[in-house]
Order: sequence, then structure tokens, then C-alpha cells
Amino acid sequence: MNRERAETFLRLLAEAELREWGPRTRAAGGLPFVTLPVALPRAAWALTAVGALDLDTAEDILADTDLALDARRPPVLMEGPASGPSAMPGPRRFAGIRFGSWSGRRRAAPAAPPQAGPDRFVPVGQMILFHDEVISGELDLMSYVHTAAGARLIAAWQTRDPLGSRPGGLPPVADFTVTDDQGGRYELRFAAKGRRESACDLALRPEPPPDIRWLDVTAPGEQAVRVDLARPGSGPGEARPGEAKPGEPRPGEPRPGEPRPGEPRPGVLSAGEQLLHRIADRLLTMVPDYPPQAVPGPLINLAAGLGATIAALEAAEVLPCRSPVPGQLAALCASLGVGGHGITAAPAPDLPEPWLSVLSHYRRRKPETAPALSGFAALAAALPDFDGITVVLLGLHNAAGATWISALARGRLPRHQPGPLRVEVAFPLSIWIRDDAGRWHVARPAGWHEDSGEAALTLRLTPPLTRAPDVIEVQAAGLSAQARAMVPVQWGYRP
Amino acid sequence: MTTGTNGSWFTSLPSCETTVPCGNAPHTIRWEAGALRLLEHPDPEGEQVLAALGGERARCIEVSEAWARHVSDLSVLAIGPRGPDDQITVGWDDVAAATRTGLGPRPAPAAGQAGARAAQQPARTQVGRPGAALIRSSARQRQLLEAAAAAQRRRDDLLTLLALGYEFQVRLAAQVAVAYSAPGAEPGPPTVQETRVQKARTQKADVQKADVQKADVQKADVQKAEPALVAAIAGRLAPVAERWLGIDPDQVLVRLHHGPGWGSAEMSGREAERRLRVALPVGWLAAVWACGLTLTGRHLVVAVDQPGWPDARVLGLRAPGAEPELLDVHADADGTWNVRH
Repeated sequence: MNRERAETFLRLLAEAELREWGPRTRAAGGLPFVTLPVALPRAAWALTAVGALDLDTAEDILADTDLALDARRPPVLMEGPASGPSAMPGPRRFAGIRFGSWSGRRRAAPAAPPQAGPDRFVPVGQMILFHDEVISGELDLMSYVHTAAGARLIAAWQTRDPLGSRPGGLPPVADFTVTDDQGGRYELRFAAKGRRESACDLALRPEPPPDIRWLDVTAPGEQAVRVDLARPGSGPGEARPGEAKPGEPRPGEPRPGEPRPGEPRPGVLSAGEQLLHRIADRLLTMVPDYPPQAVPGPLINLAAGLGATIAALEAAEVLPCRSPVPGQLAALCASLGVGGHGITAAPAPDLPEPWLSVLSHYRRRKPETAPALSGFAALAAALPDFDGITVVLLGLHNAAGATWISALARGRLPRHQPGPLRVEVAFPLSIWIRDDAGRWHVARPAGWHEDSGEAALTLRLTPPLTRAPDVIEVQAAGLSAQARAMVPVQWGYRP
Repeated sequence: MTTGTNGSWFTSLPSCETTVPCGNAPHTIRWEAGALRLLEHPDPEGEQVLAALGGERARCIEVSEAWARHVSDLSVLAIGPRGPDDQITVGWDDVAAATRTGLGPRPAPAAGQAGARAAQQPARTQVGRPGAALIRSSARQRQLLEAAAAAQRRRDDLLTLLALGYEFQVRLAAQVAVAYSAPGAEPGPPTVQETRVQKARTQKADVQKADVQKADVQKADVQKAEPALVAAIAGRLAPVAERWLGIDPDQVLVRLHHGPGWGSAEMSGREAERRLRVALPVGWLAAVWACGLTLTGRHLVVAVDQPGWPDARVLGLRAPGAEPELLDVHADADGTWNVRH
């Protein structure tokens, strides 16, 4: 990685944008509020995402460029009574304030030292029915988690509330009784934690001992349901069944450096290639939101500036100049009918198999004929540490025609960058799931809630699972590593 | 009032003046021999003291203070003009409007002022001691407000300096470039002999020791600033190269030249692969570009051998790869340099 070349590239790109801005503004009819060219923030984002440029420098460059453009903008003459030869100059906008520290910008948290905690992740996969005078439904327990942040059950729920008298139709967990094998009694506290589509965390209070073997959960008027916590789970940092290890292929899989034709190559993608794969993931997750007949603006916006992004990554020496990924990205854009991306590489003849799988689902099949049916399953698979982040998959459920994975993320968590210059650090991992029919599903972050050094993470699969596999293949990648693992799925209720 | 100067880089620049709306009248500010002079403010230091005590701060004083704050600010190079054709349209009305619509509060008043203001405030109700979280939140909020005020002041500074006009903008840019020039390489022109034989200067041991110590500090700063300096030269050289050779500005590749001699300029490739590779020292921005000497008599001026106004002696390239020629140049009344034959 060459940080000096990365910064030089971005500054020279700013110079080029400034040079071209005048003619472009005149071509646009002298629009008063022509904004920062998109290639510049995209390149800045890419360089900061791979760590080739620090966020302060990137935002300084963008702020200076923004102010430089503003300073060259011709005054706009106000329309109205004073228009014509005596028109007065209108108000001007100067955007180049350095918001760096004032905006409350937050960087990725430093890798927190591991806190002393039990770190138990136990798959559950049990349903609890409940009903009272006004509401009835089911609570689908997917997994039990006990970390330094506390003990909780990860659950999904469905309620039927014909009278609509309870706000939000939440399950009445405060009325449940919970006991353990050591005679402890607990309350359940409902917390949405940013999870989507009727998923939640149910915190146990007080905190139970780390070695409890079971919990009896009893809804009012119902029989107790025993939740067995003695079954094997997994914890980050240990290799267990169902857990991935970086660069370690399962039997029959190619070794690192021996990729399957057309597939992402485990262990050999550079940081720049991984970042481009994440952009491709994002493009693919947007496909189902729009009809194939038209090219929607969001897809065009996402692809804009990709040429500059690729050039920036090459300048920073994190993307080999002969990498096939830019060509694959160009081919993906062509498949989606998206132009204006600025990629100079010729479209590659072949796409990676996962990309093709998603494209085939939405563009060749009729996805609406096989909707995802309701169901839930237990997972407890800790993915290996990627770039200082550990993700533990905790549950999977189908709801509202979509498939959701509830997960926990720890370590060097990315944080939202609310600065006005749009240098945002997105979810830094790429996660793909392959079902038992060989179809690939890309996971898109749909919820992120930080609490006590951990983040409750919700992923949405595109396309949703329409089958109920007993095992899924998880392929995950950060910027520095990639791993695959077969993860058992314990269905509590099969769709 | 004057600001600090950095030596003889300004010898090829004539003085210039502009008027600034200050109070109820336009006041004249002059740049001369590397320093700002506030002609209507004979005792600026006294006015600064009064302003610190709560008096009104004159616009001229603000300009002078802003200038001093940014003489080594690389943003001046990133925002300022790339050449005479690069129109910056910021005026004093824009500065006033931007200052009025600022985001953050003004800097806290002086202690005496704050005390007087507090005396006029109604007594606050005691609501008990705040908790630790509230204190942290309040501290964070205060920190954000202070950062906002600093950010606004910085932007207002830069707009103020832009409103001074092109002549002042290039002189400030030159001063920034000089701040990042290595000692001994200050636009200080290499002699023709040095250029030809590319030999290092020899200095007495005691002088060398002092300079080396200074150079170590500056070298670290220059290294950190190298991407910004490369971009600053590229952004100003590329349009000149276009006029010189008809080359696309995007095909001009710049790197910083360190050490003795003026640098290098080589052309390679054809058509889309054509590249002009130029290595110049940071001081070129001050000694050549800021003085309007870049393209003189169809030569790309790469260094100044004998600075001066309106007559100077420069090193110019007729073509990339050619040996630089010593040229005697003369500035017209409008500032245009021509080769004397």
C-alpha cells in the first residue's frame, strides 16, 4: 500500500476536477449549485475504506475543493423586478467549512481489548406460544447469547392482535417467567436493538451465571418450554464445527491460489479487489428493488465514479493493474444496463458465479412465483476475525417475504460518518450464503445497533431463501482475508 | 503593520494595493517587499490590544491577522488561483454574507467582558449537581461548538484572503510555498554554473551544521506535505504546459525536485500516451509562478537566476529535454514579462 501516492492521486484528481469544472458549469447553463464532482468523494471513500488515506486528510481535500469550486462560481443574478440589466447578485453558498471534528465525526472504534465474559453462543430453535386477553402469537427463540454485554435470547416473533389495543403488537415478555437449572429466576426485557422485521433481543435480568444448562421459559397460561443450553455452541477465536477459519478450505475445496473458474478466489483477492466486490454486492442487492425494464437512478448513482475509484485503488497499490475485477464490474454494470461508470477496463466475458446466480434469479426467473415463506432457524457460527471485526451469526428467519439473519459484531466496529462530504465507512464485510440448491444469496446490512462495545447486526439476504436447507455455505470476506464454512441450520419452523 | 517575510523571493514582484471596506470607509492595504502594510492604521498593535479588551476590531486588522494565520497553510494553494485566467469571484459582500450566516458562535469574550455580561443575566435556578453523563454530554457539546466556531473562522479567513484579489492571492500562495521550501533552496535561484554541472554547494562547516539542523525539521514537514505540493505545482504548471506545447493538461506529470539544480522536464510517448514529466522544486511556485514568469518568450521558465523588478534574469526551456537558457527579461507596465534581445 502506498499512502503517499494515494493522497497525491486524490489531490491531482481534485485539480483535474477543478480544471474541468468551469467548462462543465458553462455547459450546464451556469447552474448556481453545481455540487462537488462525484468521482472525487468516491475515490476518497475508497482510499479511506482500504486504509490508504486517513479520514481527516480525505475530508480536508474535499472541503478545500468544495470551497475552491464555490469561490469560482459566478454570482447569480436574481430574477424578478430587478432582473435585466439592473439585476442584483443573489446569495452565494460557501460550503467549504471543515466539519471534521465539529460534526461529531466518529471513526472506527479502536479494537477493544477482549472483555472478560462467558462468550456463549448456543443455537436454540424453539417456539413459545403465548396469548392473553388481547394478543396472541409466537416467540421464535433462535439462539442464546451470553457475553460481557449480558445474557439474552435472540428471537423473532409474530403476533395477532385483532383489537389493535397494544401499541406495536409487541409480545408480552414482561409477563413471562424464566428459571434456570440452578434455581435462578429472571425477567425478560424486550429490546429491538435496530433489528428488522419482528426480530429482537430479550435480555435476561439479573444476569445469569455463565454455566447454566437450561432455561424454562413460561408464557402466562402456557406450559414451560425448556431451552437446552448444554448443546455445543461456538465462540470467536476457536475453531469448531460450523465455524470458518480464514484461508482454510473445507475438504474438496480448492486451496488458496487455486480458484474455481469464474469465482472469487479465496485468500488471493487484494484489498482493492475486495472493496470492488463489496460495491458489486451493493449493486446486486439493489436489483430486486427496481424493475428490469428501466435503469433506476440509485443504480446509476452507485456506479458513478467507479472509474475514479478503480484508478485511486491502483494508485494506492491495493489493486493490481491486471486484476480481472474491474472488467467483471464493468460486465456487471453492462448486465444491469448501467452506464456512465467510467471504468476503462473492457467488460469481462465471465462473471463470478455468485453474481451470476443473483442476476439469474431476478432477470431470468420469475422470483415472485416462489416467495419466501415464514420460518425460523437457529444458527451459532462465529466467523473468523476480519480486519479486527468478529461477526457471529445467531439466527435466520423469513418474514414479510424476506430472509433476515440476526448477528452480533464485535471488535473494530465501523461507525457512521455523518459528515456532509459523504466519506462514509460502510459495512466493511462481504457475506454470501449458498443454499443446498447451489444458489447464492448476498447479505446486505439492514440494521446496526451499537451497545456496550457490541453491535446487534441484521443482514437481509438477496434473494430470500425459498428453501429450508439443513446446511448453508457461508462465504465471508474482509479487506485482508476471505473464508468459507459450512454452517448447520437448525430449523425451529420450516417454511 | 507588517507580517513576517521569508527573504528575497519577492524581489521580482512589484508592490500592489487594494481597498478594503473598513468601518465606514474604504481603506488601502498594500503588499510591499513581502509584507502587508495597513496604510490607514498607523498603530495596529495598539488596535489589537483594544480589540482584545472588547473594542471593535477593524476589518483591516482582521485581514492582517488572517494573512498571518495562513502563511503556511497548504489550503491556500488548494483553493487559490491557478493562474491569471482562473477567475475567483469572491468579493467583500460575499465575506460579509458568509460571516453573518455562520454556523457557530463567535469566540468566547474576554474575561472582563464575560463577567460584565454575566452580571446582567438573571440568576439561574439551582437544579442540583449534574450526573457524570450530563457533564460528559455538556463537555462534548462545548467541544463541538468550539470546533464549529474554529471551522467558521477558518472559512471566513480564507474568504477574506480571496476577497483581496488576484495580486494578493498569488503573493500569499508564494509565501506558503516558501514556507515549505528547504533551506538553501529558497527560490533562490541556482546559478547557471550549478545548473550545468549539477554540483552541490559547499558551505563552511559551522554554517552547514546550523542549516542541516533546520533542514531536518523542514524536511519532515515537506515530506508530509509533498502530495499537496505536487498537486499545487501540477495545477499551475498544467495550463502553462498546454499553452507552451499544446499538450492536454491531464498529460502533465509532476514530481518534486529536491537538491541542487532546477529539476528536469522530459517528453515521452505519442498522442494519448504522450506525457510531459516535470520535476520542479517547491520554490518554483514563489520565484516563477507567483511572479508571472512561467511562460516568457515561448520559454518555460524553470528558475530565476537574478530576481528583480522590472528586470530579471531567468532560466528558460525552449523545449522539453533542452538545456535551459539564460534569459534577460523585462516586465511591462501591465506586468507582462518579455525577453530582452
